[in-house]
Amino acid sequence: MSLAALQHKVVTGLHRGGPAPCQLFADSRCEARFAVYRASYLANLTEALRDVYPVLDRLLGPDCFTGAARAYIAGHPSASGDLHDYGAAFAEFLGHLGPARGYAYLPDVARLEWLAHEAFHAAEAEPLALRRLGEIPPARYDTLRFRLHPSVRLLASAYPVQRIWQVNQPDHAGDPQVDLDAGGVRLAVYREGLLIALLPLSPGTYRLAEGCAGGADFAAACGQALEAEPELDPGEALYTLIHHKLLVDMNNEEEEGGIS
Amino acid sequence: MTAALHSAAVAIPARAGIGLRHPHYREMLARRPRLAFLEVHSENYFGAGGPPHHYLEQLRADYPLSLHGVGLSLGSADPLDRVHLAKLKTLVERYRPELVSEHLCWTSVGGMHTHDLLPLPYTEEAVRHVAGRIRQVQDTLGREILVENVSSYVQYAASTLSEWAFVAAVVGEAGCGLLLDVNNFYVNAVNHGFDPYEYLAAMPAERVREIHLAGFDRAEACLVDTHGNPVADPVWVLYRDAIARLGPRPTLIEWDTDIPPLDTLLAEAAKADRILERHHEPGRAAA
Repeated sequence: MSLAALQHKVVTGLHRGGPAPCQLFADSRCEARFAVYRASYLANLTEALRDVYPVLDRLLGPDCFTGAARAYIAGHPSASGDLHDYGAAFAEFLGHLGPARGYAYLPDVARLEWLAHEAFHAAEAEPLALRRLGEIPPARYDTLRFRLHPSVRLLASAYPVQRIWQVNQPDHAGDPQVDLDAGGVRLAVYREGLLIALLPLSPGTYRLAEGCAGGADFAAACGQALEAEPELDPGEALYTLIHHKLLVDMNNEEEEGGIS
Repeated sequence: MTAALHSAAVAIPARAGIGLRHPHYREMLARRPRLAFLEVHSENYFGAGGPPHHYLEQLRADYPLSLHGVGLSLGSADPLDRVHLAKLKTLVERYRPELVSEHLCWTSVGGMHTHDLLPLPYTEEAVRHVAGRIRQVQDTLGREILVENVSSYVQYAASTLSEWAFVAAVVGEAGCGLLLDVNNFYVNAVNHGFDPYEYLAAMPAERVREIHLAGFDRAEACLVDTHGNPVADPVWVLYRDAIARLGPRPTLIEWDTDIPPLDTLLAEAAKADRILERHHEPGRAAA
């Protein structure tokens, strides 16, 4: 048997379960010993998911979370040698999971936790200082392309996921109640120092940030932002993004490579 | 500590170090205990930024560093994972570690990753296959890597070599270093019924750059290498004899599950140091 064929049989046995591929092994206690590998395979992936989704773990309870994780693992083998890459499709999976259907906010909580996971490991970058903006003649603002800080992720949800996230942090001491009918939220998810921060944004400010993320120049991004929120003051929205250090620098079409 | 000690060419002193794990980041920074080196799992630093790098950069300034990979899957029948290797190369260039190691095992096939350190069949074919891939990794990184012998709970019917002959053959053919995990070959000796001293005698002393010590658990069917306990007494005895045979080597205390207080790790490291001190050759400076 080739090395590839042998390895495929082992991986199939680990992933699908069922009888151990004992024809490969010389051990008399093969079933029990292969079970050690199988348990370790499932535990590694389950705990990787629990690490990324601690709020879901609290919401579902550890046993129910483990059940959901096992069902996810069955349909989603790991595709990377870096365990931190595992679990990106958990939100979508929860949306289709029968027992979770009565809890429509769970997929958005999962989305928020995955974005927080990405933000946690994202690159460092010097935030855009307000004074840099002052050095640009206002007539040239329209062509500036502001860029989001590498740790910034954007999430819009029809549920109060920021509140759900906050009351399920280990150090939350206040009222644990969440009003699920409180309405949706548009969030910037980012790293502030060593911690994850969530900042609610107005519809127009959120669209402005989306425009920056998509590479739009300031004029185009403002146009989209005003469509989302006609009464928006674009200058104030830009200030909000700069004040919270969500922008890094800007590319000006006349100045290759940006100005910062 | 001098800047020169941090160039990759300088060896780690033959004393004890510990695996750096995130529950100990802050305490390590505050206390900076005397240790010969720190070792981290390479993949935990594959992200571009954030707290892992924030802490490692500060600690690396004070300690020699060993990068220990768990996901490259050296023994896989798949083509070498160039994306994973590129991330490792980026990390190696960022920290310029004194040692870089991977496991002599496979963890994936057909693009499916098990995140488990699975043994290879001990055959001439597997020796050639994995040695070729180790050379590829060394060529890409532009430096020597170490490979670590892994624990195992099963033996392949297809194996034609002993595990110790396999390990020695791979290291010889690849021209790499050996990270000898004493706990792993003790666990295998119990699980598979061989003499650990026969294994030890077959290890190429001049290739052994580092030693690992960890604790196992006892399951119903075999010993399981959980890294969740103190180093077992028979493993300390075997370690003492390994040092007597190989000479003193940088020695790592590994603990990955149920991570204990830092002081527990430091006490284990001190125990290894006492054994190492007894075997330092006269006139050979120990840092």
